[in-house]
Amino acid sequence: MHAMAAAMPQLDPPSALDDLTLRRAQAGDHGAWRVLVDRFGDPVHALIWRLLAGRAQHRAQDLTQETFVRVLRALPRFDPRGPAKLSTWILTIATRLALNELRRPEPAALADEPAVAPQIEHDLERKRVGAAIAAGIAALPDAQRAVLVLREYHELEYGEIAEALELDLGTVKSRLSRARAALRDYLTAAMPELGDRR
Amino acid sequence: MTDDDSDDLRDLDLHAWDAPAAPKGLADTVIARVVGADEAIAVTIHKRRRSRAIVVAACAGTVAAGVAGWLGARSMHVTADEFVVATEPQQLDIGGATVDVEAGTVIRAHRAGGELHVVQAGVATWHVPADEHLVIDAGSSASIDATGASLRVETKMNTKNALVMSGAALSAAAVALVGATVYEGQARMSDGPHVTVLSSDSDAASRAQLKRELVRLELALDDVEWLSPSERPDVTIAAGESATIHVRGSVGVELKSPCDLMAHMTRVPGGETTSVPGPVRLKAGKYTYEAYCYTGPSMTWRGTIDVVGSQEGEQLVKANKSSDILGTDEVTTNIDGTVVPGTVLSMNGEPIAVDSDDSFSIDLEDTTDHSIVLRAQHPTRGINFYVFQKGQGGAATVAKPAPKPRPLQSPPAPKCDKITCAAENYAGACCAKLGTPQPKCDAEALVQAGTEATSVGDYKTALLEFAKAYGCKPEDHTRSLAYMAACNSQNVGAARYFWRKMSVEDQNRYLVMCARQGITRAALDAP
Repeated sequence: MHAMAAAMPQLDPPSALDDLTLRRAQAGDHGAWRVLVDRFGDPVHALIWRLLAGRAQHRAQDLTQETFVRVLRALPRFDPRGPAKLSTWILTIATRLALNELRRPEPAALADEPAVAPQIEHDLERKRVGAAIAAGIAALPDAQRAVLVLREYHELEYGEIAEALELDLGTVKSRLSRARAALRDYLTAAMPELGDRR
Repeated sequence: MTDDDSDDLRDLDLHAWDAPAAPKGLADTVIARVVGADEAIAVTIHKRRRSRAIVVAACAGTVAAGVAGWLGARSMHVTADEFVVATEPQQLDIGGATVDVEAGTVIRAHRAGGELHVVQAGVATWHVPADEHLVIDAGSSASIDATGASLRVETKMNTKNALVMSGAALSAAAVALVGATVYEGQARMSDGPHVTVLSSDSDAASRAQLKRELVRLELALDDVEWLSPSERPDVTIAAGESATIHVRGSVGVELKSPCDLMAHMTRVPGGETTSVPGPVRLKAGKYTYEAYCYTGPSMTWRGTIDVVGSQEGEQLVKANKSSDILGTDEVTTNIDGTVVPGTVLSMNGEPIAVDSDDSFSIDLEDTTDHSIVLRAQHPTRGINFYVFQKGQGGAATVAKPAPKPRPLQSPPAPKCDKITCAAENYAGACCAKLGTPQPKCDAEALVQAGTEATSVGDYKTALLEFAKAYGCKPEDHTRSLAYMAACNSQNVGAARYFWRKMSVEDQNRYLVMCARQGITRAALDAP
């Protein structure tokens, strides 16, 4: 199957910013700010876009922007020697903004919102799997979706997820387990051939 | 990864669900916003007869100083982290522009790259000189900009969404509708690649509207939001009183005073603060407040508001609410329970009689459109509010059996409805009026359409598409998809229809799909 792990692309976890650039950014250097936003822009946008799946993805661009405004304003207070990595700290801010957004009463998603990434996709099967995954993750409760996306797409450790979502470790593990099971159930029903190939 | 991952998704390429890249120009936009925030914009208020405009800031301490300073002066400095709330029509100078604002209008301004950027909620008429460039942001890709022009701009609010104020970010992300009329000069209205030039020379071209979501103003303190004008607060607390509010979820609170009030709220613990003029929505937590008049007498009140779960904390009242639906419109509600001896009970200012055995019973009619709030005051235990929110049954402190199940659980089985007929490929006389049988329909395309609808959360459309696909080609896989869409759209009748077609094994396997949506096995098994 094309979409199996063998074909899995390299994940793109946000890499760390070098110390000098980080210090310059903390001092308000606009060039360093630009490097930071460029470095973390895609993962932050991807995180928010996935967390808002099926609900308010049209807000992803604005929330991405808002995330970085808050990051740059709070950056002088970020302690690089503290417990949180810069990437985790930024993803935490993005996650909380997205979850807050999901708590708000929200009109239905805009009609022209793309269901999946609007990129040209030649592999039809992969596209079909992608659509099914999107649907399955969109159907998860917000709390489970957040844990799953942070773990599976951004490779946060359980402890980092617990800190980001202000949960205890056990809750993270149980939510992740439930989310995976629910997604597996969904995908098995939506695409029975996935189960046949396991 | 160092965590042990016993992951049954490991064999899947979850990245088959690609996310789009960050928007182009993100860094420029972000830096412009942050830098713009550091540049102050002078706001001068003219025609001020009474103190009516409020300058709200992210930091409540700043607000206190700002408002106090403003009351004694004709002008003040407003930074981009602050914005102007007009409570009556007035004229302001913002940057190089002058603006006449109507009551209730909220404006935030900052300067970025030599342009005066504004986010506006409400109605304002702008007079922009030739040496000023005004940009009214109306969403991620929409704006109105003008130089050397006079124009009236109206932003209509979506009343379904709360108007929430933020010191950190008055974002133009969600404008419902923006309309502009140019009286003098020209203005340009942009919506992505579409640009409309509005000119005072042409009546036909002078008006245009942009549809966007509501302007959303977010609070620095995420647990406190302004109530929108269309929402009415659940609980009214006299300024200076302290109270505990027992509620499920959040609660709308208004501090009542003889003047227009500014409340400086602080979360305990944590210390995050925000300032709000008017009713607010509070999430669970403890808040202290300091409220003062920004018009009228110089008065200050302090108190605490503790928002707790309906069954948390010390209880003055044990009450249970139940509702009876008598017909399509009539709903009667009964609340009965007991109180701690010495408790004085009231509802909407009216005293509630408590019997000698400390029990009470209240019957209410037509309670479907608002919350029911009991106020209980005890001489030593203080004031407690018990909020039964609209559409919510159950108990403040459960003292009796759970309320009757909602009708959602067991509606009559569908016989000739849209979904059933689609799933039967419109066979039979009853379904003939809803569609025509399709002998050569494309089940795969219908399943694809249903999957796409599911991926954007449109479960109703998904259900119809899957049902059509099942009618076209009745396969177990399609039936399962239709069943899941029925569960997610909370269509009990349709879920039951597909449930009945499943094997017992499949029923056990897929029960959880509906159970997550509150649809029980009993509802699915119902005749």
